[in-house]
Amino acid sequence: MKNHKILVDRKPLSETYIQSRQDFGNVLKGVKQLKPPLWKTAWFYGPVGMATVALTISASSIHANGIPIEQKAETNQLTIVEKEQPIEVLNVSEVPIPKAEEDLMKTELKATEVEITETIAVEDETENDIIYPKDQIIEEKTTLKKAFPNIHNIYTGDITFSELFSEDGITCGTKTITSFSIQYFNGKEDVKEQVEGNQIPGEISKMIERFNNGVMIYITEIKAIDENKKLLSLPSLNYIPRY
Amino acid sequence: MNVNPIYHQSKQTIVDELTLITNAKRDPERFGPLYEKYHAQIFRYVYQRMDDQELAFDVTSQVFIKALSNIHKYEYRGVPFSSWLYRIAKSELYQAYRDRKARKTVNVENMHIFEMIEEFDEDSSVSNKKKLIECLALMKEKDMQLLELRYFEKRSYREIGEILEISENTAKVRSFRALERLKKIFLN
Repeated sequence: MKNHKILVDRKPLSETYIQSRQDFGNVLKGVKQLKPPLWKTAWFYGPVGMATVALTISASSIHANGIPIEQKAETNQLTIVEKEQPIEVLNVSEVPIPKAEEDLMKTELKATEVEITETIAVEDETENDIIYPKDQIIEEKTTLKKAFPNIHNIYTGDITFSELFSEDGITCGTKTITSFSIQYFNGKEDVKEQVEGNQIPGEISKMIERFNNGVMIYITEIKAIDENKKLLSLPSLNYIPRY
Repeated sequence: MNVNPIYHQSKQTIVDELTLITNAKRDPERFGPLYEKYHAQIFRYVYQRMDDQELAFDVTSQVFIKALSNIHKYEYRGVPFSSWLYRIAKSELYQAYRDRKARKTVNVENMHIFEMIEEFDEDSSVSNKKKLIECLALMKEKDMQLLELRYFEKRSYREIGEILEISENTAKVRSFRALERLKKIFLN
């Protein structure tokens, strides 16, 4: 089978004729036509394309929520104010604790983790434009407080001697406090004593009243029994007793 | 066999050309001198392999359009600019064969036919000439390409290597084998 057409001694074209057919202008024109249009180049799909996508996404998200941008910002500000209130309760864990108590604290906090998580979940919902009435928030706050031990509803910081030595002693919602350790200054040194029950004994009360006015005392290793007779470790308390 | 001096590029010519290429990279309008210098060469290369003169001019224009739009990619690595143009021309030719149904054509001169017959140690008779032309038409594309470049266009092995993107030595070996295959067909 013949693969080629063979031409022998074809009349050669003159150099002048070939030169006369030169057309550089046509070449330049061809190059311009060969260039892809702007919208087909990577430059277009880079910055311009990305900007378009970003605009489309933001426009569609605003449209989906049905809230203009300014109103949305206001709603967010309100949400932040609401959020600040329950977080106050968590400050109990931020109060400085003696180094030796830290590990125990970590274990003890686990018992209250569930309730804290629940509160945070409620806050998240408020972020999604669900605004709860204030009384409902206070209820949540109360539930959270029930998870922490306290004396006379005081959780940390300044406390009067009468409040500290009140008959109610240490309480924690429906839980029964069975024992605790108390660290105080006895006039010579810091001492730590183990106490059964939920009240500070009279001898220790006298020492505290005498030597610990304005000095922090630490109530740690608080043990309690819940409704199901399950033994729990509760977070520590720190007070500065004053007259 | 003498090498065609038209295709020979001295080192100085290549260096001078690099300046023109750099200018053309900056401004396409300055591609003009390179176009004028190589238009005829590239046209002859194309027309050598085509029957249709107008189509050959079209293909030649297309070669320079492609060259100019891709000149930013050209880097001098020992291969002269002309070889780069020939590579584009080769590619455009095959595209024309495919898209425009152009007939693969080989233009040979009588003189080259007789030279080849002498190479085969045969008589330069009219019948042998006819026979060789028939044999050439039967050659495969790759072999034909080498025979054209080496024996009809008298290019150096180095230039053949540059156009076909193979080494000089490979070009030499393949050209020899192509001639051997033609001889085999011719003698059978």
